Amino acid sequence: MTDLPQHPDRNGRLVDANLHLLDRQVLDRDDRPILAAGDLELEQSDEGRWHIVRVILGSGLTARFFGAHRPASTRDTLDWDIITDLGAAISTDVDRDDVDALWTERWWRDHVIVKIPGGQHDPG
Amino acid sequence: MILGDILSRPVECGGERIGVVVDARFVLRDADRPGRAPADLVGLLVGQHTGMAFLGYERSSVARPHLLNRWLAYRQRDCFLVDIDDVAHLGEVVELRADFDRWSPMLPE
Amino acid sequence: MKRIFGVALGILTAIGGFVDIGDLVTNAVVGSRFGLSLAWVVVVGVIGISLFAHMSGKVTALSGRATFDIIRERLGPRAALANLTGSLAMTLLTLMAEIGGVALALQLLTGIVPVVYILPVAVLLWLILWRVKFSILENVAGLMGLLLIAFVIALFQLGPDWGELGRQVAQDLPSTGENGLTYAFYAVALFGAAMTPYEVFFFSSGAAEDHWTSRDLWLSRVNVSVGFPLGGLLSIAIAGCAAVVMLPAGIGVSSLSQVVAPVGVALGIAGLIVVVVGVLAATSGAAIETALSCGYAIAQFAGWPWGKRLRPSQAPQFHAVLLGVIVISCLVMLSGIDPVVVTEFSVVFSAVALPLTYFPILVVANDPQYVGEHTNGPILNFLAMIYLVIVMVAALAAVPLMVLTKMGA
Repeated sequence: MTDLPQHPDRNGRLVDANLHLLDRQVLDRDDRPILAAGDLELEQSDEGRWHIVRVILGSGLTARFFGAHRPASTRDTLDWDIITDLGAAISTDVDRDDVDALWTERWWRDHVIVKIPGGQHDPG
Repeated sequence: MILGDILSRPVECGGERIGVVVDARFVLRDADRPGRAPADLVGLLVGQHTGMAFLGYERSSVARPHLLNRWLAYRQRDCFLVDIDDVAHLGEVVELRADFDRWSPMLPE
Repeated sequence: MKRIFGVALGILTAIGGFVDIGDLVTNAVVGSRFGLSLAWVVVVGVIGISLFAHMSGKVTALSGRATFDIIRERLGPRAALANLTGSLAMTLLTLMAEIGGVALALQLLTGIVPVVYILPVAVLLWLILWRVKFSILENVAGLMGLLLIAFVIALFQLGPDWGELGRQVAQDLPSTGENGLTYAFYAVALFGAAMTPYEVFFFSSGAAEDHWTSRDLWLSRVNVSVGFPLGGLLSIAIAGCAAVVMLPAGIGVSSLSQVVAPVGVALGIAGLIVVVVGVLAATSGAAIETALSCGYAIAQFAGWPWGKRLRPSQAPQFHAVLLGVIVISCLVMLSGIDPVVVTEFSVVFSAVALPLTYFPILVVANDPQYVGEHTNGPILNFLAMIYLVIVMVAALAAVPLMVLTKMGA
């Protein structure tokens, strides 16, 4: 296995989806968390090359358990071009307040947490 | 195409079972800011078990702990990279061209 | 000077925080039946949790990613969900035991049955988590837990036959008619009590709450190498007191009052009050830690914002989880179930759940992508691998032993 030749296309940094991308925490421009990267959407260019166009947010659990994907229009995604770094987490250039995918968090905040006294205060 | 659909699919060539898709390798043309350029699909990593493949010991320079590393490397000993152009068909089964090349799965450091 | 104070505080909270209702009950039961012949398990457990906590604190400080975040990344969502479910069930069980423990301590102080205290304790616990700052929580509970040193003082005051105790430490089975299977069962239970997984989620998430960086790693090493062993000594003292007072009289330990009775024998009513306040503090601290650990685990797995350092409105689902687990625990304990029984189950299942989180942390502590140049050295890895085997053996043996010995009856 280790005697196999190295693939010639090394014009850039090589990453593997499972190792470096999938299930990684996604962070916004201020390093605040925006869910995890559950899956990747690929498209083919005119020349037939596949490339990543979008990151699908969420744990991807519902798809993997029920065997089907949510329709494309309802999927929570981030476009590939906002990604700024791939390290222990995936850093992006968006502000989390602008990310639609966080609607459940906002629901909990607006319908439960702020209704309890002290919910908007700093701790201690 | 959703990548998750391809992972864990069986890989065959001319009716013979080769393995399963354990991962997909991409190249980031702009390493400083990955989003600025497309992340091109280079190929698929084919191995024997999908189980622990994501730990990736067999592909990276993480060498320790030795015993664990060796056991995981043993389990993925036949893992190799297939160029995407050698993939004839991406369907329920990933079909490879008859003359496909096997490339090293190692990630360059 | 402020540095030294900070370090001292860290060590003290580690000692006081180490002992929870699981350690109190299990060590006392073991002491009353096996003397100190299982003391070696506490030593093994302390070394294990020191390794585990250090590795996971290191990973979080250097990568900024907390335990369940990493588990999801390394194992993939399906395996990670199974992992989360197991770890969460165990931590929730422990939370119930700690709330019960607080109620038991209050019973000892006031004479009122514990079930009356369950709801007020749960409400107070939630209020504290809602409003009080993380650092204050950590420090107050940890420091007051130091009152448990009364067990150490009591042991000396009892004037035991040190030769006899030493002999017990060295021997395998006491002559009290226990058999090898119950010995093995209690070894696993004691191991689970000493090496509690929630302690590690809390420690590593706490590292993030306190904004640790690579410069704080030495602090982690000090806390862990001084604090945990001293906490282990406290555990052994608890067993020792039971060994001196209960074992010769053939009295088994099945209630909190029997756990603390030797301190009353040695130090009188004053000592008893001090130690019960210490138990109150230790179990309260542990209740806070286990509740937070449930929140940390779920939020980190899901990728939500989490942490006491954020306002509740900035981490809404995290706080919803905290509220939820406290409500569930409260409802279960209101059934009047004996907290000591819940505790005994929780330590056994701690042992079962341990490999789930230990294995990924061990792997990641060696990965430069997470820890840069601070990958485990060969000695640490050698020890950590030995413990991987120990942890797996304990996990596999726990339930069969529990069934075969009928919970060590």
